[in-house]
Amino acid sequence: MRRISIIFLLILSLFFTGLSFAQNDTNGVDEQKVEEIKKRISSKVSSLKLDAIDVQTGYLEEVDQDKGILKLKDDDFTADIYLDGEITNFYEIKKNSPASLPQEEIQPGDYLVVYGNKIEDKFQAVNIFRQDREEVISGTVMEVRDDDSLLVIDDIGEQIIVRTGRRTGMLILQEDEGEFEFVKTRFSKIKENDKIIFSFFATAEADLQDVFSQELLLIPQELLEKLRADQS
Amino acid sequence: MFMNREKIVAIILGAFLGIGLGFYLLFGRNLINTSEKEDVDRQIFKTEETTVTPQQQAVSEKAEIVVKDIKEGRVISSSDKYPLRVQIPVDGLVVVRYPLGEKAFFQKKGEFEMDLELKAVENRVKIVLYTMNSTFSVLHKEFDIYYFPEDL
Repeated sequence: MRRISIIFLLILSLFFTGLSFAQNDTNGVDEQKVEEIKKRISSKVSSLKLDAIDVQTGYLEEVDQDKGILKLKDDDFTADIYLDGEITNFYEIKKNSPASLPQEEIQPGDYLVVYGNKIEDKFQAVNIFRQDREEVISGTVMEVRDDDSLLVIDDIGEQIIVRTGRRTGMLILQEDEGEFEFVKTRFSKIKENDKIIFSFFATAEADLQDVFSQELLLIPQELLEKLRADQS
Repeated sequence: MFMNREKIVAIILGAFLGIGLGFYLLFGRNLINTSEKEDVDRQIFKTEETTVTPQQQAVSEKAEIVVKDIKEGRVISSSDKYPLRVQIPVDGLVVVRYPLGEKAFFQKKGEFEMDLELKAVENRVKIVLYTMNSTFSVLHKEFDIYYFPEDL
């Protein structure tokens, strides 16, 4: 009887051990599924990197290293940008192409363009680009000054002093049989009442009433008058 | 005989240990796997939630320059050329200024299309319409087009 009990118990323990090994095989299948799901997640993350979900821009106010957050500020808003050490990359735009930038080199006041995913109120950064913020304004030349600057009234009625220099590209619009073309010109060709479109690089603390122009386009008043005459 | 009893007790304890181990491997690991799977499922669910981004297109009835497909003054381009679609309310001289160039042409009232070459990342675009009547002397519109090269 005792032998039978021992044999029974041994068989029972072997049965459960076998079951557990069988279950281990099943776990192997589950682990495969988990791996597949993880791959799918990885693929999802990759696709999120490729498909732009949102863009956030602004001037860097501060970096909270402990929380991994950049605080951006612009005229009427502030935004928290969440960094991820594994996916967030920093670049600088130089000569119209991006170059890798160490995170330590970004400074308060830098203009940043953040490409990432907005999840509820959190903006998760994928790529962060430092570049110059270009502003473009149109208006009318009110005064041509001796110091190579212009007094301009923009198209919403604000007065702006537009300074020019060697680095300022100047183009004037010409018409030839209905075809229009911008060609290079000089400061001396600018006249009062000419229409103007000028660009400049803005900074966080910039005085927007007194700017240095990178490029200006001139649309001579006489050209507009001629066009009006041709149309009437 | 006494030794035999010890052996029997040892075998019984061994058997119970085997049974216990079997139960742990059978049910304990299942519980762990279930919680892992739930975590993974939650992550998938969360990821899928973030991919929903409704597109809206606002068209103003006012006498203004309307740039199609631009939402909140910005749009993201998938290539380095953006097909711009613009509607203007009156005839006039149109000047388009963007980082890689400038274009000017006379345009009749209505819609026109043009391709803009884009530099990497932010492109500030300004469209100015110099009208040929005195009611709307100048109309202007500015917006940003973002282009992120795929190799980043």
